[in-house]
Amino acid sequence: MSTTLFKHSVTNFYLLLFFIGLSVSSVVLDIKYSNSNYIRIIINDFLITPIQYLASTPSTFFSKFVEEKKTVEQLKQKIEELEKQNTAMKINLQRIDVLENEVSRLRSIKSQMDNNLKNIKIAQITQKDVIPNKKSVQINIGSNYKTRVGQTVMGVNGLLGQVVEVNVYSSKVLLITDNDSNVPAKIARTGQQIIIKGRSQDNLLEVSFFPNDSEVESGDLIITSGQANRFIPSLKIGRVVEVIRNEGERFSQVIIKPLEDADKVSEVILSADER
Amino acid sequence: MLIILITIILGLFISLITLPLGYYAPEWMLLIVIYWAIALPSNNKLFLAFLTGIIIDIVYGQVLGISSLFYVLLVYIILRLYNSLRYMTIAQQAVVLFIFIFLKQHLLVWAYYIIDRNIDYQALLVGSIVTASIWPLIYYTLRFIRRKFNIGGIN
Repeated sequence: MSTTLFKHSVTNFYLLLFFIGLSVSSVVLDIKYSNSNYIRIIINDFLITPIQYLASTPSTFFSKFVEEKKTVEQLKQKIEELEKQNTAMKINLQRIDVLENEVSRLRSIKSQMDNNLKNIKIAQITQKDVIPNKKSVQINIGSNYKTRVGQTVMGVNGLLGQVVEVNVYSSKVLLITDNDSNVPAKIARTGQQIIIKGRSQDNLLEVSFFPNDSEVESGDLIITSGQANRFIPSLKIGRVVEVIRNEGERFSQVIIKPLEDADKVSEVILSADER
Repeated sequence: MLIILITIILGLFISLITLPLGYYAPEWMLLIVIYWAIALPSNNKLFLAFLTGIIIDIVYGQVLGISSLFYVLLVYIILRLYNSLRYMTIAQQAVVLFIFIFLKQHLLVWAYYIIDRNIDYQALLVGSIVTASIWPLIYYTLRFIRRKFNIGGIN
């Protein structure tokens, strides 16, 4: 008597329909209530973040290994160098009293000017390119520090981007240089309102729909306008590097170089109380 | 079943390493599920495909459930055709998988169009070629694992 090794058909059509229904309802729920999706946060924090940590471990292990292999002589050289720096620093320390007074004076002026930026949080960039084919970074604070979607992320020199996804211990930031990001801004010299769009291919920014007869020249500072309550007003974005007037067309092309480069910073600043 | 889950976790590990490539990176976890669907066809592979799709959606930050929908469909077709797929050579299997994944990416683009979001079309097409070309590697590695741990009984 012959026994078949495998059943002729193992698949259950109703099971397929069940899973398709589950997927479609999950898609619909995710689109309707995208802000209160706890499944995403739970899986992200308990499954993906530990594995991501493991995946980045080999490179950190090797860098530590290389560091420990430094010889004693190299360390001696380093000590000498550090002692030199120490003496130089001591001289500089004498000037600190003067500077302290100046700083406290400037701080009082700044707090009067801009009440928004009293509480800031400093976060570290843990990984780059976390959203596929988008300019993005991951930072190491999440809803444990009351981070929200849409919060402004800036560097020391200027605007970097905004928070697009929040988990408990990490969040994802979409940079302003991405194709999909639009920043309401204004030209600091003339006050004209513009919208700035990212260019993923060369990490620059451009002004979308800039009329031919409006005034702009290279070197102009561009700042956020705070329109639509998206970003904190009066943050530096970048400087105009090139203006191309298209005579036959309605709009001219304005190219802006951002002041802050996400590839060069490791710490970013989030403001705690905006809006 | 435990070994299968461990290989899927390993696939997640590799997908997180290749995450900076975006959609150009091969879909490791999908290939692993397809291998197990061909090697040990059973109903729980549909559940596995669903779970994998949800995890991929979270890793890529897509709409939750959109790739699990097509993963489940693809694995269902594979489960229907596993008999004929087993008789093919590896290269033929890779070509057939390329066609399936190619169609799956188009369905994904179509679904993204319906819910009014953007997705990188060109990257998805290149990604399907990359995914299919990685199939022999997955096949031989997982067959080695299957024989080593003697999963499925008769071998």
